[in-house]
Amino acid sequence: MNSFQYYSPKSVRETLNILDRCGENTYILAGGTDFIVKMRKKIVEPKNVVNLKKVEELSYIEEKDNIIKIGSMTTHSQIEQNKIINKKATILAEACRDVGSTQIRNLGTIGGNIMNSSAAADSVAALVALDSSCVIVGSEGERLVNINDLYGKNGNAVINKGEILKEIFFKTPNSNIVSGFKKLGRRSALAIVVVSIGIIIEKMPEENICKNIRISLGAISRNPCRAKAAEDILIGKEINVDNIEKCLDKISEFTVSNLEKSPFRNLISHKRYAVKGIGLEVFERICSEIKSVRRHNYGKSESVL
Amino acid sequence: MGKVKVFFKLNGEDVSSEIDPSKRLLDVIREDFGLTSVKEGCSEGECGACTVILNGEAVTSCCILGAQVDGCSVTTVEGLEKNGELDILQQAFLDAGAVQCGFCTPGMILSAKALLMKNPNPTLEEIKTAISGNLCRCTGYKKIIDGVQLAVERSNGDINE
Amino acid sequence: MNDFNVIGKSVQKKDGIPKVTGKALFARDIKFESMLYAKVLRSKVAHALLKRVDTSKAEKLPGVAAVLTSKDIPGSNRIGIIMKDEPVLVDDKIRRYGDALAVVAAETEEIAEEALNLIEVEYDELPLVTNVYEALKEDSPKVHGDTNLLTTRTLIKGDVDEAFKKCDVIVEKIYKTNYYAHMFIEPEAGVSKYENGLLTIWASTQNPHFDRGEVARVLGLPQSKVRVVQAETGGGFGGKLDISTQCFLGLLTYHTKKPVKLAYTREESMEVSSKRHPHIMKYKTGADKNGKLIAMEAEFIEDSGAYASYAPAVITRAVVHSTGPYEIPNVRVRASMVYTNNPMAGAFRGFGVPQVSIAHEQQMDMLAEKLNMIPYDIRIINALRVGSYTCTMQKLEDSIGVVETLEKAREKAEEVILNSTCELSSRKRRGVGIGCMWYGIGNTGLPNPASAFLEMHKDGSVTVMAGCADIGQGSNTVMCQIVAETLGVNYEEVNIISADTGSTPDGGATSASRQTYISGNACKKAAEMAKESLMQVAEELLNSPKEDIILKNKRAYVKGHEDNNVSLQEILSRCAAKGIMIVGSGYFNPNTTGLDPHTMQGVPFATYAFATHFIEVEVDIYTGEVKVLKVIAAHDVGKAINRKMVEGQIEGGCLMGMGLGILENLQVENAKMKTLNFSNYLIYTAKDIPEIYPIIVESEESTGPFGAKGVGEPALIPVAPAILNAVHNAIGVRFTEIPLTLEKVVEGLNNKFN
Repeated sequence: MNSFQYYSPKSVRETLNILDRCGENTYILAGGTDFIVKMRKKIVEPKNVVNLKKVEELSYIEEKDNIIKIGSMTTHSQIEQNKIINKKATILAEACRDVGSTQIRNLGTIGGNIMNSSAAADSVAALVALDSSCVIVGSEGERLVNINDLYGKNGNAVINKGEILKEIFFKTPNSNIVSGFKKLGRRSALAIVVVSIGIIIEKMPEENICKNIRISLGAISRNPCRAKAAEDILIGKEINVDNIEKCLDKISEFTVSNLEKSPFRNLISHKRYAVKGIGLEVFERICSEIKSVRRHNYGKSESVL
Repeated sequence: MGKVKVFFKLNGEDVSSEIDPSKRLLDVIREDFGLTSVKEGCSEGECGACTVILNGEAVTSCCILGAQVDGCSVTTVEGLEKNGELDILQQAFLDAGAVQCGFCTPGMILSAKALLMKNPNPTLEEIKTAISGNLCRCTGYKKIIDGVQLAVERSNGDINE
Repeated sequence: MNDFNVIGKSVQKKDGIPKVTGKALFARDIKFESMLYAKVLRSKVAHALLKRVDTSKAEKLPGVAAVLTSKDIPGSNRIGIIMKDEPVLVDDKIRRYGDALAVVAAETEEIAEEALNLIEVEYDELPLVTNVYEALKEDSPKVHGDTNLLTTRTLIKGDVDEAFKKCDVIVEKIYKTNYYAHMFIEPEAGVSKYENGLLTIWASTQNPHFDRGEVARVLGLPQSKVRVVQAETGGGFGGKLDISTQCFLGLLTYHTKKPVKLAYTREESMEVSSKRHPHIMKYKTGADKNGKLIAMEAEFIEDSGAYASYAPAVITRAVVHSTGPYEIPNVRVRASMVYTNNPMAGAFRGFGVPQVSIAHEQQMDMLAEKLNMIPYDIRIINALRVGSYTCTMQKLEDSIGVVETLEKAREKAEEVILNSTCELSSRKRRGVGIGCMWYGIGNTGLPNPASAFLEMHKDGSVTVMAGCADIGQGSNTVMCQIVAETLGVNYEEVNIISADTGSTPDGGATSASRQTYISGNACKKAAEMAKESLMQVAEELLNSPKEDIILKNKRAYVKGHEDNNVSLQEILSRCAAKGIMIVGSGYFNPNTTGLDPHTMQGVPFATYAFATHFIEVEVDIYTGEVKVLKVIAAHDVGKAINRKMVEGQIEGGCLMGMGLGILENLQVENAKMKTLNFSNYLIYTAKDIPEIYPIIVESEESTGPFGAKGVGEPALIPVAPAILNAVHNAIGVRFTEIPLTLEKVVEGLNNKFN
């Protein structure tokens, strides 16, 4: 790899100063799992690299005034092991738990995942369902961007020169809310998303009615997105097998129509079903009312093998 | 493009090196410090053969710049042996038959070591998760998991001995 | 009941400590003073006439020591494991992506890489041929010479045309298999140097003696002037049999006189190392109403890619094993091996048998279904037994354990799979399937001897010098166990030097699951020769004929009169006094015949391994996920020299077989490989493992060392067939193409149920 000027600031202020001074081909190094590989393959050829690993003030998870805030340099491991996230925002813990492998989770940051703008970004799908906001900071000051508005026309995160992503936050889901996430991969670890689904459902207290629901899907469009039409099917309705089935059908329809507009139409015949399968799995997990089971046995071996 | 001076702990010893900032931690460990147990299998963080323990966590050293470990603590398999005696994990791997070609072995041992340092009594699932980023083409993983479980049994919770 | 000291015991591996401490030196770990680093310039097109390679600019780059092309080759520029059809550096035509055009040695890897960019190449592109049927047409572009038909095979037993008329049921299907990659975790690497005047190469390899031969030919040197040492090798599976870095290294050191290191990147390794041959197999199998197989006819077409590599061996083996481990009185198989511009196919664990087994095992299940029989019964009825005739009309005499593997596997299946009841989500379906296999040990119908030397030192410890390359499977350990048992000494006191052409005789390739059987016998013979010398003296000291003397625990005992014994040390002292040296040498070649060129009748193997797997899968009918839950793997290995190591092969083979059947999906488009790393060619992780129940069956092969046969490739073969049968049992869809990707499974379900 060709060499570059290396910076390792210790604070956000120092980082912004460096970014203001540096010219073109300046890159932020967060987790490194994407970036260093790209450098080696000469996909990027940086002149300046700014390592954020020493900026301790960017690594935190805290809950304040009913808002959960996560610093952009917090790793996937830290998120998936965090008590608050596991209890109150299970969907995000589960999404982070399944990223890559242990080593990749130890290195990769949520900020890096967001900024990398992959269609398959696991944590982004969860953040979309949580209706999160991003705090972007530059030497001019801070600005807020809803996660759904962060990505531009080509699907890449829009950020100005000299700015960095500082924090992601979302309203703490209340005690009537359950959530879950499932990623379909081809194997059980180090798996790129084939499709993923995140569901946050708020029940009416004491009743089995869906007060509110948010469903996000990953890898069916350029960036993870909400399946609002499917959400509408369940809002105000009883949470039962039939209604869930209708909701899943709508999720499937939504998947098909998204993929039809994309260069990946050949994936429709699989993803339209796959998304129902993982959706059903999450519903089964978070809503005890809709477990659907069948008994299985092989019978006598003389009749089987 | 100036060189960068890094100071860090390598296998318990304070070390330093003046390096090209574009050098990966993998290259620094292998070339500057001659510790060849850390292997390059894929160069993209997928195979885990380059795993080291960084500040107590297993990480793929092909995804980190050498410069980033300034002030950190790095452990490789060479740092496990104490006074010529094998670490519990190393011995357990031998006894369980967990070693075939041996190329994935150092990385596997370190991923397991990082797990046991935090969690001396892991469940089967936790062990599998800890080594899920270490690919092995020879063993089918079974005896590697057996080796970790054997180490847990033998250490009775004192994995840091 | 055998009362062995070390045979059958799971002793600690000889190479264990260096590997767990990280001290084992793989080729890339080796370093010398003034060492140069090499890089290879590879073609970015698949088919072209090479016109010009201009290295002048590259040579001038500071830090570059040499830039070589085909004109710099002093000897032969054609290598190949069987047919010499591969150039070391292209001199006429580029035939595939990644063909080597030039090689550079420089002070650093970065400079070498830069030098590659300065080499100018001119070529005229030629049309591609990437489809085997197209390749056989008159007017197709030709890869070599004037035909793309590399070779054919025909096997004839009995009269199939008449026999089909007598069948009560017939099943016919076409099966297809894809390319697969070895994905050994260590990419190829090597280092070369003049050491004591001898050109020496340390390489990641499965066959250093073959490497030496090729390097010597390429440099125009006698073999005695070239030494190849196998470095610790990080997996092979057949992918490190072909020449990789060795000739480049030899050339560069020959020219520069300096040490040179060459380490392939993963992408480079993927692109140019061999792959599993894709097969298209048309099968027609018939049986009578009682389930007895009467006739089988098959047609295969196999894609060798741009070069032959192991093609002649793979096609022969595939045809010979095409029936599966069953007796079929009438068989006809016709197979063609074809050149294309696709990636080079070669040896990969199983050599054509994993491909044919997904066909023959599903044929068996389909016949059973038509006859209303269960898959187990149809296999028991037809399984090979002592006295059976194979499709090459070989009469099987000894160590035929397939029925025992069926029985033992079924017994275990009843215990852990079949009698269970559970509750499943409505999305899931479970099924169980059987896969049986047979595998001939050693090269098919060809001589493939191995040799070994041995010396017992004055203190009774022993050094073995064997050519056989340990690539992780444990051959070093097995040889020491065999020698220790034969000579009655402790395993710990036996040391082995292996796979070094400078100090060990030729052990042949570590392939065809042959080393335990063949090198094991060679080591045993060498030990027996040394033992003879000890016995001469023991006879005297014990006043007893040698037939009555046993060597055990470093003593010599008279059978039945154990108090009449003498220590090994005493014997050795007496030997020294008499000037008797305790040395041995031996070689072993399996007792086989060549195969008839028209019918392939003959004795291709001296012994066969057998196995039966019962596999339980769970299929998600929405996502298409096929999860392997339980694998019962019963393997007839003759005798397990080291039980843990045999289990290790079975477990490793299980994961690799699962990958073959479900996950591993190599993509080649217009002769270009698209999946070049672990991120897109996926292999299973530790979180994917099923519950594995290895069962070792020991039918004791009389010609094997302590009864042993082999298990390396057998471990892989039954897995994918059993999975395919299990998937059918679960969801009623029969898949004839692998791998079973998510998309393929969902498509199969849609086709069947919509």
